[in-house]
Amino acid sequence: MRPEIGRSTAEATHGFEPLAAGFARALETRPDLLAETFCTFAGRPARLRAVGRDLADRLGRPFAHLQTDDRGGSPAELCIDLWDASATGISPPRMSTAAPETWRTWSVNGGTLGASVDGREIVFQFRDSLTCLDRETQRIVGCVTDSTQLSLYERGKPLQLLLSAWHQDRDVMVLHAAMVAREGRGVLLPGKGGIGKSTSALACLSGGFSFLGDDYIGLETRGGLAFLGHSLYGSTWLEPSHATRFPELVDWGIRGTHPDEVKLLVLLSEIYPARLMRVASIRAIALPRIRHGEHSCLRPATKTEALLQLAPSSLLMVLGPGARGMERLAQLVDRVPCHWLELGRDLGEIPERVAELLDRVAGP
Amino acid sequence: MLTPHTRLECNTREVAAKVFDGEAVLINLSTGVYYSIDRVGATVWEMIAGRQTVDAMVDAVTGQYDVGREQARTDVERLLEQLLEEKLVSISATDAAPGPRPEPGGGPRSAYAPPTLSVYRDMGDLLALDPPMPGLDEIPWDGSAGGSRAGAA
Repeated sequence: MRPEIGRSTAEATHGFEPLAAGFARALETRPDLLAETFCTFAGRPARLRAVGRDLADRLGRPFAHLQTDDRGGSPAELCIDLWDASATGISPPRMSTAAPETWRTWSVNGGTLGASVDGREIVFQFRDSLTCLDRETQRIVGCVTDSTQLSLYERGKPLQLLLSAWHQDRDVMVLHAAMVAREGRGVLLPGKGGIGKSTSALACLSGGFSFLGDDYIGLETRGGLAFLGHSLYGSTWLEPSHATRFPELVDWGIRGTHPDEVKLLVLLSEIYPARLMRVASIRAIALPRIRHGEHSCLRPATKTEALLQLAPSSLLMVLGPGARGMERLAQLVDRVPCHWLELGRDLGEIPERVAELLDRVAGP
Repeated sequence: MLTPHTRLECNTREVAAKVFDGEAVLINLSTGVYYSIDRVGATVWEMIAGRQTVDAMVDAVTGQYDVGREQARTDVERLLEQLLEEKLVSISATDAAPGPRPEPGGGPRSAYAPPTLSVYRDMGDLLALDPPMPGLDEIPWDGSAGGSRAGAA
């Protein structure tokens, strides 16, 4: 049965509890299908449980580089419990977020986002998946109708909205940026879509850099002086134009099952398992922009230019930090050297320029 | 209608703003439109945030920059009209006391260029405007009890 949100029922239910009950029933019904893994999100221990082997495999792969051997040694700060309705026979609950006295809803990215008016629960329905974050218990529970029908969006960046909210509750601000690193020293590549973030990050990955992400990075500030960038996902999407630029990735591309999915999903941990990195210190900011020439080059950027590239797309993200994030971004660009990374046609020069930028930055 | 005694207030509910190196970056979180204002404009923005009158803004601009009073008034009022039109500020309806008036610099006045509001509308497609996309600050949660039940199945 397809989950229903936003449709009134005689007895309106809350988001989290029916889903938690559904997960418990699925686990009781098919304990043989349970897969459990442990990860770190922004350095915090997390436990992922999925009832449904295929579901566990599909949703776990973008987090492969975040997995740890610490099987519950440290108390989990986030528990994620998901089940596959078709594999277990346990349908998702019929839910209503229509009661305005208890829920608010928004149409987001083709799905429906809901929040309880007390802010405790955030629920997201997208196509055939329904997930809910309880911010008090720090637990995400959810159901997919059929894991074989998951969209590339859900497979590439699982639980993106709810994980963004969870990170920000931990004071880890999610940026719209790519990030690469060498020897633990990271370069943040911020900007809106289409500006060259993914191209730059993938070119650096091919050129030997470590990869932390190509669109979402968790920013953690230590004492107002040091800035850490946390990886959220080890995946990327290849646009048709990228496919010709990065032929070595095309063979690994996963095609979508929905007609509107024209990009290929690539799970980078399968190609470069040693080059995916969980966290690095942000030592420089490179602002990509397309240059109509052969060669790539660096040019100094003012702090205002850096803030104009970094802040709008980060602050305007759904469940982004809003106005309160501005001060932290200003602090970051104030303390970290900022340069334009002007992208020429020769992609092989991009990692050279990024390495040059790191060489200019003093300190370990 | 602006008068010399008009005070304005920043639309802090919807606008994130930062003055940096003498320039201001403003983002309207409701519309996705973002802005930068150059040096004279940043001076004006700081005075709006300090609840100063239009007259005081003109005083500050003529004190800091090499410009005559009439030119400064014309340019300041034009900028304020633009900020009002973009809903980045509103005319203050309260009589709250202004912040301290900035001290005159005392040094030589800087070269003057009329303030320019640069407008960037390229992020608008990120937002579905009806209803607006929520930021997490629109879903406040008192997380004081957070973590107390983490790990419970």
